[in-house]
Amino acid sequence: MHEYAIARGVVESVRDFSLKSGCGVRSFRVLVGELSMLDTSVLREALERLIAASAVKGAEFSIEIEPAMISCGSCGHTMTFGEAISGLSEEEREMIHFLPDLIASYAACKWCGSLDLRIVSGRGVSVRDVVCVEG
Amino acid sequence: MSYASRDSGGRLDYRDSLIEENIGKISQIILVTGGKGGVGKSLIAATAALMLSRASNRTGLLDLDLHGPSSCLLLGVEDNPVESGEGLVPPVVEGLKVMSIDLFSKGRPLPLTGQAKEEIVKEMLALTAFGRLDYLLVDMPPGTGDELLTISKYVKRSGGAIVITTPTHLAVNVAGRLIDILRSASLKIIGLVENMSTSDPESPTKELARAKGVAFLGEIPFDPLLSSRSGRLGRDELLSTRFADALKHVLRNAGLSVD
Repeated sequence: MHEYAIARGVVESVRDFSLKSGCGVRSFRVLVGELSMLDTSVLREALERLIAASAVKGAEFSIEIEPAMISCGSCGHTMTFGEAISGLSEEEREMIHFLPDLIASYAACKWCGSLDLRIVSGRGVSVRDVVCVEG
Repeated sequence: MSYASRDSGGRLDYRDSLIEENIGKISQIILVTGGKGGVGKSLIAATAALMLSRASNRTGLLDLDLHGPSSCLLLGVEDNPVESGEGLVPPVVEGLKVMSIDLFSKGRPLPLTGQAKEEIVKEMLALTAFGRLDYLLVDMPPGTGDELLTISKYVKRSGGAIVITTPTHLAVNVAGRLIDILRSASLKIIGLVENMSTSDPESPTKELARAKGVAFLGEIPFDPLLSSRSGRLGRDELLSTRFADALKHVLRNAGLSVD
């Protein structure tokens, strides 16, 4: 549900970029980190609705999932999203959905057991490659 | 002014505009900070927030002591934040809206790198739906690292800091360095507070206040009841301590509406 708040931030940041740079926005990409476990259909619907009512009306966007990679700061072992969250309950996953960096509070290195987990990729949401309207 | 940023990789941070919007709804943001650990920042932040809320101010408390959050324990907050279209709605006790990492970590260890802490501070500022507030008190961690540097960037216009120290040269030394950092970040310094005071006229706290040109807001005496029962006192008990009486004077001196 907080996908709506995130969508608001995305549209505002694109609008701010448009105002500052003086360019109309043709398109942009939204990268969603796998660890955030956001509902991309809800995010897409919110973005469509907000864009249609904004100063960047008409801008197109794509949503792509960025795979998560988590490395152990102690032994260097790297884990995929599936490996890292395996065995976690629904409630524990929800806490990581809110704050992805809490992966280290809920999971441990599958190789050495250390809690020193670092997110290499696939953390949260970012807006990339804003393309301006030519002319 | 907008905080929207664009790095060399053409990446926009969606949180900047949400943070700007959220902070724009808050009249005054007060960082309760001190540099040194164990000087009483958390207890002062939580108690002050409760007093302000009881005095009919719309008040929030944001616990940014990410490695050792204690606001929920001090105030008896147990409910989860509620997910909504506005973000995460914080639980409320006596009108006070409380947000803490502990509402998500549930007492588990918090092994966080500097980068992780910066991300969490931004996320909490962007996604916590405090709504309109008269005061947001921020319980800052010991040290002058990522949490302080990250939030300082956002609260320059509506923010200020109350610096807590104990009357020891060690704590005062760290408080002095903190004041320099706050000034360099263009943050208003509301004043300096001496906690666990022994009312020694030779206290280095007043000397620091003079040397740095910072207001001295007052002394809070050492209260043995708090050292033995802190975190296990009910809210009414907490507000009836000698500590709370002295803190009320300090808050009045800081110009806050506690009556």
